[in-house]
Amino acid sequence: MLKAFTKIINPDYLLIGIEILSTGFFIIIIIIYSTLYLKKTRFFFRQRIQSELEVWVTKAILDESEDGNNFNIPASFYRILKRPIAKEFTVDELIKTKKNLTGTAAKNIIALYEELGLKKLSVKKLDNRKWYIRAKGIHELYSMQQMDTLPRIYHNTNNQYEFVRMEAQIGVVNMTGFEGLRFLDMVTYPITEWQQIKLLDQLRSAEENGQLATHLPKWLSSSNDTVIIFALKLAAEYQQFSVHDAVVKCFTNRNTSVRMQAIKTLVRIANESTAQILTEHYPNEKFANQLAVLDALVKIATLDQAWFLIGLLDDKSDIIKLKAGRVLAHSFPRGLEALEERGKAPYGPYQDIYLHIKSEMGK
Amino acid sequence: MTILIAEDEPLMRKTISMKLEKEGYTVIDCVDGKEALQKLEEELPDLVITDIMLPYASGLEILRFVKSKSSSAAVIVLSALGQEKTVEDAFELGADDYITKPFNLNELAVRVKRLLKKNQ
Repeated sequence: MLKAFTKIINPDYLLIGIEILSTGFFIIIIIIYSTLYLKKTRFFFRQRIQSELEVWVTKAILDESEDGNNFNIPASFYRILKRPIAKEFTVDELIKTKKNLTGTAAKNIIALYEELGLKKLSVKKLDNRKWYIRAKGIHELYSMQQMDTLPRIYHNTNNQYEFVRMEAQIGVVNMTGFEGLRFLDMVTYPITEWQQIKLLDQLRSAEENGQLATHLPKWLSSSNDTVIIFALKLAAEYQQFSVHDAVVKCFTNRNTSVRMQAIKTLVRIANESTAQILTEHYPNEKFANQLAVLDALVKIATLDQAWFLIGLLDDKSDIIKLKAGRVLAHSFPRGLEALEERGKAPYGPYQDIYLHIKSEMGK
Repeated sequence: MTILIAEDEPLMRKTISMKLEKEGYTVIDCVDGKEALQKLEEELPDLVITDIMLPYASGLEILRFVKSKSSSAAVIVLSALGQEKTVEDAFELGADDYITKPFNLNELAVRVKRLLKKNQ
């Protein structure tokens, strides 16, 4: 031990140690400085493109001439654009601005994107082996409404990579509205909840012209459960009364989430038989879905369901009792009175249920 | 007539400001909420166009500041789709108008003109 210590503090070894340490420090400092230098160079380069872009791109965007677009792009900008980073930056900026504008300005941005040869870059990305580059290419092409690339985008709607598929699905809907939903015919991968929200959001600006009613029955019997759930959401959102019976058939699906969505959809497209169908289906359901049936009945129950609901007041679950009581109070003229009567019983939570529902109704 | 624009997207800010300059207004550009509040402290313009989502200080803070200084300065709020609740809040704070992105630049120019005429 002592021998090893003496060897370490030997001036020769100490000197070697110091040399190794200082070389290490020197290398670290060089790495830090070169990284900072690169970042700074990149930052200034971006600023240079930004200032170039701001001046004449803005002029181009505001161009309202009737004689087609003549952007007079300076040769210096084409030189800058030779660098891939400049191309990427320009595409990103144009897309960000395009998202915020409509009318002539938006059309000018698209024309400028094509004029600068940026479309080629986006199309090239579709062949890239990296999934995130492919997803970005799709995003760029649909943001710039490049309709001729639609078949290639459509081809990616069932891609194995989630983000590629998501962008492609959003893309086809963004470009063709409800027509784009035909990818639901063949998509085998799940459509996530978030993706469904995004698709519905995209459809908000599209016009529904009766195509849904034709396609929904097919999607409602899809082998992909998430397609069925999404189709159910579409049926509810666009109140597709014609698919009522196809939605009822979803009660035979083995997936609880599908049945849950079917219950929610039926409320939105209810007819005179819906409440009865729901009550008949109730005993076959799992607890969470039974609660959903009772929530649905608040809006559509008729006198025919009165005995069914009164029966549920004796259910062993207090939540079921409460929800059944709520339907009774909301759906029948003397429902609240009936609950009050029940509240007088010396057993069970009926008094609390009555008071709770009464306060909910503001009485 | 002076218009202050608070918008954090550079190209968007420049586009709006050039459009309004073309219409004959004097435009003050601000890249974020902080800069907008500083400039408003120095001089109150005839109209303020502000995005709701801004770094450092939100469009609602700018609106609140303008309305606490002068009730005559008009404010147009730029909102995105799905920000209905924030737009409601903006109206409660005294916003004069709002425009949802994506929007038409000509429509914005018409609204600006109408508001400035009304406030004259």
